Amino acid sequence: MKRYLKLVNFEVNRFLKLYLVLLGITILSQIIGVIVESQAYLKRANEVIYKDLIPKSEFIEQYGTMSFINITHSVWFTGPILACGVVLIIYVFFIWYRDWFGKNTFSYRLLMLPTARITIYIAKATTILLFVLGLVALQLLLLPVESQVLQLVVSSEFRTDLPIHAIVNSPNLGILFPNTFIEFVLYYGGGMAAVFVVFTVILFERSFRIKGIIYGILYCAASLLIFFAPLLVNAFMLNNYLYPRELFFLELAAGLIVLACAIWIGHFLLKNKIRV
Amino acid sequence: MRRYWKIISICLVTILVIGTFYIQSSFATSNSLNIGVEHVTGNEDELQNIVLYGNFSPNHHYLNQSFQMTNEETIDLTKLSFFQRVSGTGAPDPLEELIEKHKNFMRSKDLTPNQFFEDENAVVYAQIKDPYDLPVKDLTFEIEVLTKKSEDITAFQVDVPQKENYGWMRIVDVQVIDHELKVIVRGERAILRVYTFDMNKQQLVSDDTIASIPKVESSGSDLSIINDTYYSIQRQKYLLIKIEVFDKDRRYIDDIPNLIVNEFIVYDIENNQTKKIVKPNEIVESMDHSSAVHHSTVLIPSRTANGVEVSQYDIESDKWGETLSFDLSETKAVEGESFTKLMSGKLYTIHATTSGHTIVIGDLETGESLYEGKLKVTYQGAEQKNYRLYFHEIESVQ
Amino acid sequence: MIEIKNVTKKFGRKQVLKDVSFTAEKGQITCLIGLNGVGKTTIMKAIMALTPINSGEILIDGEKIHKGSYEKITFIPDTITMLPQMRIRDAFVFMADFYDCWNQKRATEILRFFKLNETDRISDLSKGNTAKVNLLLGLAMDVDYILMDEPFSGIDIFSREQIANVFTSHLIENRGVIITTHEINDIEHLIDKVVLLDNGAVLKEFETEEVRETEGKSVIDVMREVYQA
Repeated sequence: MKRYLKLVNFEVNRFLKLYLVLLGITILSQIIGVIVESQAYLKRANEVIYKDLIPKSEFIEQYGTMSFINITHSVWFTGPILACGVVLIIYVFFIWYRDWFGKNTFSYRLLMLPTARITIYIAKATTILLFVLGLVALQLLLLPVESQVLQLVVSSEFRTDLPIHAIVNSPNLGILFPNTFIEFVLYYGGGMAAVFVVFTVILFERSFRIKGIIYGILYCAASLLIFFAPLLVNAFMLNNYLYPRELFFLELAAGLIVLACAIWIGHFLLKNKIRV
Repeated sequence: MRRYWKIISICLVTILVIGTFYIQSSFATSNSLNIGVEHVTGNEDELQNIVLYGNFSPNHHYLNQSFQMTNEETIDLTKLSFFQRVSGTGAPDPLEELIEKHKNFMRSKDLTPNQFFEDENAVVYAQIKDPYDLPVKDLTFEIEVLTKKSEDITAFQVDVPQKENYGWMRIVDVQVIDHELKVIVRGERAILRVYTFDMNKQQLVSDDTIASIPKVESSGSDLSIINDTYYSIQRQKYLLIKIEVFDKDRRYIDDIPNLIVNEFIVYDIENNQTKKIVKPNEIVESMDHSSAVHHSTVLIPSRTANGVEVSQYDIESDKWGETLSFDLSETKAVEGESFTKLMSGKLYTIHATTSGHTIVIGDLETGESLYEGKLKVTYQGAEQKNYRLYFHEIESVQ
Repeated sequence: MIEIKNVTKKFGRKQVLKDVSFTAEKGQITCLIGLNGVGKTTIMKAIMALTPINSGEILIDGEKIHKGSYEKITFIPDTITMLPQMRIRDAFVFMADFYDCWNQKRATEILRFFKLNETDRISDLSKGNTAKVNLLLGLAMDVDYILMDEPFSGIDIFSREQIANVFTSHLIENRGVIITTHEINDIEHLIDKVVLLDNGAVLKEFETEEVRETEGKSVIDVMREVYQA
């Protein structure tokens, strides 16, 4: 346990600089986005009201008020979120390959630590989870700040103030923040199960190299099949015999099986088949 | 410990922020939108046992919240708990009730009320598998009957006669009269047919065409059931059928096509008889999906300057009765945001006026207004003036 | 004692280890000798479970390798096993964090012996100094067995001497050492036992002392006999 925590700390520190850069880009880009989008709205309002001589109320009627939802549609806002997502997806691979590739052979050191090798696997997964949740938390912290900025730039007559919960429910952000805590756990848990499956695919490749890629693809396909088996069987073989609630629990079980298999196979490969 | 301050602070901040967010949202959501009814006149008991469904947008904003309200509470439908959503089947209420009572019988069924019938003795389900469904199958009636007392399930299949004439078929209604099962079907080429089965012998007894669209060249046409029995699986005596034929096909042409046929037909399910409703034109034209049949009277609501008028047509005597009118205290209407429903002998109408929404409940037998109230909208704790509110369904619950 | 029993290994169709068996005693320096690519490094990786074997068995003090074994045996490969961006000091912290057997006192001692600087970044070190740090990280662990892969390859003559001196010092005393090399000149006088390998198979296993006493041959003499036969 102690070594696990130390490994997590070690893995986090290895990526921390780049991660902080990601956080910084997100903060900067989103706040600039709030200002740019608000200015654009006000500029249009000025044009319509003073040049086309349309009354204020009619402008609002036609173009709608400015609210945070408008901001969430801009590239300034969604761009950094997507960028962070892409970087983290790449890092799911890089977190393993950086120990094998390049000049250093840090994989030797990791595999010779006096701890079960699955600890390394779990520590790397924990690191990914921490980074993901950290970004989610940052976004939550940023929203009230950005709302304040919006209030500074746009006067109240053109503005609809929305509470954080309404903003978070907007289509773009709803994916990051599910409605209820249970869904949050389920969605992010599902995401982590996918990370575990990818980890195990990487270990297949690291154990058997080129052949391992084929094994990895087959394993991945099998995992997907197991995960979707309840849905597929219900739709194509049982003629929708199951009710959504029953299907949900079967899916949950299928997800847990996939997760357990990923960890168990990862454990087996690390212990018996891995090559440096 | 000092070496670990970075990771400890990342963890703490993350847990605190996400935790606070979800704790707050579980408290905050239930009262972000609240629609209350302010009493104007009449008996407030009328509001009991009805549920209104609608959508709300604050202050010229495209944020859209679907909600469900009673006189006691407003529920944000986007904020149901996860298990509430997973537990439901998404089926309309009467079917949810059937699922609760007859869990196994209801498995593997299309959950559309049109295909079900329930009375005190049995639950009947009919479906037609057509070549568009999987697995591919010829048009066949598949009928299942659950006898309530014994909980026995019997099932039988009958080929659709002359099935080569139809590409597809959809069930519009299922009714049981004594031991006769009537399945009313909308088929390809805009035809409405009824198939009668003997439930004891499990045989098709007869099949008839109820209505079909007259063939006019290069035209658009439509055949629809007006008193849509979608939410009802109970016994029903009449179907109201509307047939429209246009001189141009609406789908391909921008300018408004002319109606060349506009017919209304009442179909008496039990006696297998059809009857055309004869004009007056202005009433017939206002017939839409809010029209209903109560006992043997067709009720046709229409909006007037002062409120709502309901025309009455007696099917048996073939006569137009007296027009009921329900006046509203506030009459300046806003286009398009009103909703009317006739249900179990009562008129329910929500009227959008320049100063808000009014709900009026009227008695269709006496023509008297039973209740009038004003909707008061609060959103995030503040009373709202500028907002959009649409209602799309009113249901009565027991 | 490290026992390698009938170990075979294949890479695809190529058999890299063919029924390899030998033992390495505690308190002795055992030298694996062979040309490049005969499977010396593979044997070491196999002992450390860093590569799977197809059959056979490897025992360390009578038991198969498990997580606790890494407190008892360590491997010094021919490249450094620390992150290049770390300072030597950071590497010490890492080792102390994860190994109970890490001996900081000894680490400091070796650091001084090699004249290395704690605050130097590993990536900034010369090839020779990198090799020394690598050796240091292994030697400063209180383990019973040390495996060293080509500790002298590509290193300048002065560093070589320094490293060779390590073998005669108390740093090695009482431990079991397996070392691979393809040129034994530097250490011939140090080693207790030799395992000659060719093409993935053991050609001969002998004690240097014994051969010298009974047959009057040096290691080089035996090698000449075996490889040129």
